[in-house]
Amino acid sequence: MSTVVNPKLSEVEHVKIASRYLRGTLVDSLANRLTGALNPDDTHLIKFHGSYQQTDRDLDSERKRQKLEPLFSFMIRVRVPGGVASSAQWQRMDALADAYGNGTLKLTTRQTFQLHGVLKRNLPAAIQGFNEVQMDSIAGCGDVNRNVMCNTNPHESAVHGEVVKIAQEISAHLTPRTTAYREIWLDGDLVETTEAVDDEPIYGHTYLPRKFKIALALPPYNDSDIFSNDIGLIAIEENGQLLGFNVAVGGGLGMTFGLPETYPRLADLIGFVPADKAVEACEKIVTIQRDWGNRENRKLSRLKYTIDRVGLPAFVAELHQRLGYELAPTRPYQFHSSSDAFGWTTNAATGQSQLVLFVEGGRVLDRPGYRLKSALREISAFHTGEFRLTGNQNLILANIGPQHVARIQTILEEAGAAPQAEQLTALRRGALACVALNTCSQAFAEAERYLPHLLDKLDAVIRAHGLADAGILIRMTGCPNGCARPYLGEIGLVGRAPGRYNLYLGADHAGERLNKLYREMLDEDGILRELSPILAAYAAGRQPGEGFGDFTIRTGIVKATVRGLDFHD
Amino acid sequence: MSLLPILPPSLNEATLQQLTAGLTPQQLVWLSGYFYGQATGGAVGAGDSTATPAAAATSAAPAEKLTILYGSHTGNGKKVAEQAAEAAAARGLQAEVRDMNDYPGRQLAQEQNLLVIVSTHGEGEPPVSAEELHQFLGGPRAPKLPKLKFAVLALGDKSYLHFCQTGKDFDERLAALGATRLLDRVEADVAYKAPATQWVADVLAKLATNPAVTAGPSATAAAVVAEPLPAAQFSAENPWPAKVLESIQLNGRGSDKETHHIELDLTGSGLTYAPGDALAVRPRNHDPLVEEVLRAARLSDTAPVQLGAESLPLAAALASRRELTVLTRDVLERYAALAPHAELHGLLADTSRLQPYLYGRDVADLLLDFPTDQLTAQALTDTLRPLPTRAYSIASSLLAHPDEVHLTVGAVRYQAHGRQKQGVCSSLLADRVAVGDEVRVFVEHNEYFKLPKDPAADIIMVGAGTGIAPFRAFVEERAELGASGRNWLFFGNPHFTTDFLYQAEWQQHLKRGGLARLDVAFSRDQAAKVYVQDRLLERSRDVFGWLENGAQFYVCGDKSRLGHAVQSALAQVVQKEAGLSPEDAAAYVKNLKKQRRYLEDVY
Repeated sequence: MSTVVNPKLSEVEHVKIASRYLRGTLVDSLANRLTGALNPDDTHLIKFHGSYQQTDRDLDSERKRQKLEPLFSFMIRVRVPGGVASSAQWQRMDALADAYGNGTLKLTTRQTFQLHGVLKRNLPAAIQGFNEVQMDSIAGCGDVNRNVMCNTNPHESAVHGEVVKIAQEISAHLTPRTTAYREIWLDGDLVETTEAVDDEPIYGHTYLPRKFKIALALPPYNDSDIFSNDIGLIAIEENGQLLGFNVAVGGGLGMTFGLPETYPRLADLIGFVPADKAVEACEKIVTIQRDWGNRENRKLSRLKYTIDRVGLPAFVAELHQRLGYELAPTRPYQFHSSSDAFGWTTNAATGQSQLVLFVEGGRVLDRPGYRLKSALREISAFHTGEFRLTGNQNLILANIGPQHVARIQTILEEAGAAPQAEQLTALRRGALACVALNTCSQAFAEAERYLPHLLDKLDAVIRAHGLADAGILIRMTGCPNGCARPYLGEIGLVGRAPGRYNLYLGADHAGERLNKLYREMLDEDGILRELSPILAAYAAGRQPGEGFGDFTIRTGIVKATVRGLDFHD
Repeated sequence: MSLLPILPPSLNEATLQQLTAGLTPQQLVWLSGYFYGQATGGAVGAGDSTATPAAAATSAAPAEKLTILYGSHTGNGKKVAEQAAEAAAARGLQAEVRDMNDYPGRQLAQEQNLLVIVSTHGEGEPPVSAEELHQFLGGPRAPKLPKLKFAVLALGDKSYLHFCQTGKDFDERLAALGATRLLDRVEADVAYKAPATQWVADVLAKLATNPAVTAGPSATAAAVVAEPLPAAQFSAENPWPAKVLESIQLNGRGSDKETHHIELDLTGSGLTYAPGDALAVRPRNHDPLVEEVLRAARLSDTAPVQLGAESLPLAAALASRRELTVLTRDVLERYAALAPHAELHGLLADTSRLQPYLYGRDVADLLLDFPTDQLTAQALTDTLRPLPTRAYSIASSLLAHPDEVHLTVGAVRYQAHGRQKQGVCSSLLADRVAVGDEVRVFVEHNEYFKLPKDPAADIIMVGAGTGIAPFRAFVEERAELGASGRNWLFFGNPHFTTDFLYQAEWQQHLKRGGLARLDVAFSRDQAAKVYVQDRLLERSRDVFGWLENGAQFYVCGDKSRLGHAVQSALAQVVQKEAGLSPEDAAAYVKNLKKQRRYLEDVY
């Protein structure tokens, strides 16, 4: 590595360079009793360790007046490659949420667990807690490859297990090699080192220019929304055999209001790799982004901008060069849905059952009359299958032995948390919301805390038009960064200011077309006023099998977004 | 114009307008600077012998100050502020960039040229970092700013209903306080860069043509000399009615503690104090307690009683002249003479039973426990003690807060003997006075609990709970004086997140050097309880080093719990670090006390 530092590098790049493979001054930060926060540079570095420093924004003004610093706490994102967790892992996360978090578990849109509200002094104990059950948070956030997603339902295909395994291999291969994580969080006592001793053969000492996301999907299901990832891999199966993957590159949903040079973009298909070459292909794509990505302006540093800057052919040529061979032509495939199929099913071959459980906002909690968290804790004590996290913030109790089916159903019923998806509108079942206020520092507006209330009102409209079972995808975020993939919502609501949202329409149902801005700065009345007539028209005029997003395009309500660069047109 | 001072008849407004007709704004500004120079130069020339020659010589006066103040959430405001400072430097103008977040509002009075860059959030709200200054400018303590020239760049987003509202507020408030606009306010939308750059260029061009900035008179020469106030004699009998300026609950949500920060106005009182002094407050009993006592005594609220030469209704006497919340032996003795209960006499004869009886009981309890028909309004009044004042260690420095005094008051509330009880004065300050109300106060000087005379001497301060109060005053005072001695604070309370009193202020003092070190002990945040005395022991080497180096040692807080523990911890520190026997270490600490280098304010 050259020692000459480009003076135009962004602040975070300088922090990474000085960090000695992600150590920074985290140890000092943790020892400082005078603040619940970290040293400023360490707030960037702790992301690589899977945690964000946040404040309780509901209390910021009040505490400032009280001459107290903001109520700092940490979100910890625990990786679950492919979304598969054991009962023991579930039990531990449940207990950690109570011991060190805010008493709830968040299941995220990227199949991870999030603990919220962890105080600085409790970070090591929390991380040690899930380390004991073989989970980690390294690379949960930060400028590295994040949790690798994979669609979750093991009963949908015979090759599913194989695909999950490849997801886990990719995750392991792209996990940072620095020993900083172990030193800081697990070993406690640190040997003072001034020289970086680690080696990062894939990332180098400055890691990637920006976050990097990979997802796998097994058609016809796209609940991992692979086109919204830097790399999307579509499993191709023939006669019960996994042949390999179609490779898509350059997806990413974040953008910044007021900066039209930023835009959500879906990944482009560039070819096919055999299954045994998937890890290698991912590594090479990562290294191109490592070398070519923009390290001066973080708003333009995702792979999608690198590709649009150099052009897709140049990017693919470089990939072929680095692989030493060319990708094969893309194989045919078809996606039908990016939603979860709720309820009980049983696999005739194995006799095992599974329950796809709706978890509103992905939030596992107890509240009066609805003790989902307690019920799942009870189930985790005997359930011999897995807890699988879906990309839609829901939960699959997978591989339930026949002797446990009735017991699980009873426990959930008694807790008021029984599978009730069929009583809900399809709109609510498919809804996604990011965390937003009160803890996310990016949020301009509410999302998870507010969407259920908005849905109460929208449900009335939906039911009045006989659309209760029409699977309309609605997604809400508190800012334009895209955590709940709002630009792939048939109805996308993106927060602009407290109580105000931009309304986007026109995505398709399988995660293959972005939506388009329809109205700006709507309050709740505005959202209902704008959506009601369109929903009425859809109910009256839809063609057989026509999705809501497709309808809004066909009838000219919005223009179709063909590619990311057209998003703002 | 009502703002005009009274001028000689020959210089009425019409004449002025005639004389200045046709002048450009720049020329008018120059003239105002000219006359301003005349005025301030003249004042200096008129015989203030203490003025420095440099201040008197207008031509040699230093250039005026340019301060660029920003308040924004995203960092855009900071960027513009830094850009403006660079552009100013390129023109040879020195500018200081300040974040509103740690800019004391009262400093505005010292500013001469001010550029304000501030964003607006949500529905017209200021960003958190600007909240305090925004509130200050709109509040009663905002100073008049006749000498200030300013310009405001408002950052905002046109799609919000209240576009640039905070910028508008700053602009209008500064003008209303008498400051002069260098430029009309500029409101920038999301694409702020171009208008911001233009604004910077325009405002700097304006400053360059403003004679005051390059060769104007030094405003320091014009600093108003405070008139010496008559040394007022305020006392318990004649307290000063101080207006409450601010009342803040310092403990965060979920705390078991309730500590109030009270700011009182001393303007016009002539009251002065030094850090370490106490402020005595004359309380008034809570009306429900007065009613409780009246009921228990079965006496009429209007029954007249005589207090010396004064006659007043019983309820009034009980409310403001007699102690009701606390029982003492002397009260029991006088009451026993009226109500000959055997049990009461028994209590008085047995000290081991008397103390437990007195603890947590008030006058109503006594009257209910031992009722008597012999009680008259006058007899009750004569039996009870006069209501004493309550003294609180002052939590502020007059240098840092001119004409103000701040208190840190722990609200005393407890359930005892079947009724909810509260401290007479702490509950008054916590619950019953609001901003704008008056509290009757006077200063009680504390001769010994004072900062070292030598500003270079180091100090170690140990405080728990409201014992933090005098140390806030100490650190503020030393920061204002620029004292070179190092300040080390030990502070303890139950919980870090809710009970770290004045946390944000300490963090600022640490950043700016007002505090050299800060050690904290939050007793309930971990399985094993940790107190300030434990931290003293952990830091024994440095504590002893400071002491040997002549540091003064202060303790403030609860007498029984803190006072003794700290003294014995310090003896252990000495024993360990000096290798002394326990006896010699104790003697070392005793000697510190004798030299008045170990000072206590315990209660």
